[in-house]
Amino acid sequence: METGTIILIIVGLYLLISLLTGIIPSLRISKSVGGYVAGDRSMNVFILYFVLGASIFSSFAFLGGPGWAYSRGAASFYIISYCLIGIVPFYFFGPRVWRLGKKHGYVTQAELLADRFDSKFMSVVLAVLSVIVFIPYLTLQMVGAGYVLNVISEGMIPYWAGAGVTYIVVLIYVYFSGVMGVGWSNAFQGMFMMVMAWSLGIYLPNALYGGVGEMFTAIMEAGHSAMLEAPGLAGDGTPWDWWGFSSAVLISAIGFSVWPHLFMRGFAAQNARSIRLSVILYPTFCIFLVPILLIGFSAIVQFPGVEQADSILPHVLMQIELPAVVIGLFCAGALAASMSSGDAILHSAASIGVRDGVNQLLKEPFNDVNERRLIQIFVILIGLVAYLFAVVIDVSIVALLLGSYGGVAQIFPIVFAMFYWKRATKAGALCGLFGGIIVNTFFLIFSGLKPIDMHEGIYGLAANIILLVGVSLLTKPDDPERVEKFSTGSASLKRKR
Amino acid sequence: MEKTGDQNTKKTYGHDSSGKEPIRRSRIVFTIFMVFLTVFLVWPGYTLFSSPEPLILGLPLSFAWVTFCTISGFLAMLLLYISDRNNEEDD
Repeated sequence: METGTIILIIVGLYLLISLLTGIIPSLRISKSVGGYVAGDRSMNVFILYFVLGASIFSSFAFLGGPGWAYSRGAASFYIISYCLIGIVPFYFFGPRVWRLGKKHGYVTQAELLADRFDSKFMSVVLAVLSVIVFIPYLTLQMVGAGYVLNVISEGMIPYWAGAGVTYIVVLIYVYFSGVMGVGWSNAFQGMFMMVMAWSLGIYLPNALYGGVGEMFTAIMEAGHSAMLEAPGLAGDGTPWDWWGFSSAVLISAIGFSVWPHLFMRGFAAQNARSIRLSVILYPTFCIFLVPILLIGFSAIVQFPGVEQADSILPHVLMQIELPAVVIGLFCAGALAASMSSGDAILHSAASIGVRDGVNQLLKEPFNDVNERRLIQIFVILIGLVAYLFAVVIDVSIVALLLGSYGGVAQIFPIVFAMFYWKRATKAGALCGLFGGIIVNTFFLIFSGLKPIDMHEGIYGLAANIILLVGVSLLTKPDDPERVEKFSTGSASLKRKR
Repeated sequence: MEKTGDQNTKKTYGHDSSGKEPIRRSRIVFTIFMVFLTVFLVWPGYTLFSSPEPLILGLPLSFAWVTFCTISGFLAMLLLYISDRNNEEDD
């Protein structure tokens, strides 16, 4: 059989299995909004673990990770660091989120915050912010899928068709199954990715250099020692500075811990313990970035001069002699990375857009049936918009995505204050959130004006915290009864039992 | 990340933010440890381990250090989880 045919059969089989694992769970959840958005709060540790894992294993990690290692060396270690640090707050937030959700019926992050700070307006702001950061993120996943299929099929599958077919599958299972479809397909895709990453990450250094140590020795002997010295290189090939590296780690970790799609999985969990357990197992996913980066390092000496660093993984695979089955499996692995993040983002963007955005603007909120239907329509609409960005409009998506972490990170102070600072007031929270977003966006656009070359999100956070604390202290405390509900959410449930 | 042995911890369940009861000691130790770990993954702590050499288990020191920190963080979380399990009833 021809190589191309074998690859296509494997990819086809993979897509079929993804579709089935995504659709079957829809038979078991209720037809309510709660079922669609939070899976009737029935996710066990196994599913939750992969759902959380998928949020870091996107096209960015699978293609961008090796790309960074290849072009920027030690700079790529920042991904591992923020993965570890970023999950820790969720150990503390997650069980609280779950308890409050179970008691008061919340299914999104904005619902929780809007209730604590008694502000529908905040809910709408968060919905708009979420959808704005989700769309480029989703587009990036589609670009990844289209790109991999195009390169691996040696141009046989056009870019638009690759992205299109992959995301039709995603659209179908997200449309029908909601979050449980995301969960089960992520479990399948996650296991698949892990196997692919470890086997390639160990195989490539061995096949090309005779071992991992030999590979790094070769890199240093070739005169690339500066690359391996932390914090690695900046985008232009000059050494990166510590300000840039450290602020990238911190802002990504802070943003990561409050990503709305990750955060709302706290509502989908079966119980508080399953959240804790999946969080503590999370670093096993971070460790899995090690072989991913090794793939990129393996190309530095053997395949120098590849212009587009993000294409290094498919590039290497096409250069070395590999059986068609292996290439097919890898191809499916890269699609899994793209789909497992893409589906979660698509689902969250639609749920948040409707529940926290549209619904809040109406005088009379939708009933359950109509709300679920509208979320499903949003799934299709958002999917189409992202696809349009992916194939028609030529904008720098990566730049948008890197900028988005700074925006998302601005949610952190108000989440923290909700749980741990009773004195925080509605005015303080709104000022902090707005101030943070404005300062972050300002320095994102006018990056030349930064006093120190740090991630713009850090400036945003500084303004955010000052405003949150300052304005809160200057305004009258919020209704103590309402505040109590959030800061001692766990205790009150306990007493009730 | 030692386990909190004293019996009082049993009663502090869920009150760690209310200010009325003490925060569990294991959580304080864990938080301090994670702050340290963070400092050692960025400036200035990471500068001590930023060099490419020596190679440790085949990885440059800068890479091996990040990997080591990730494993330490994992173990710390595991201990915290065990300590939480011992101090809490099923939730």
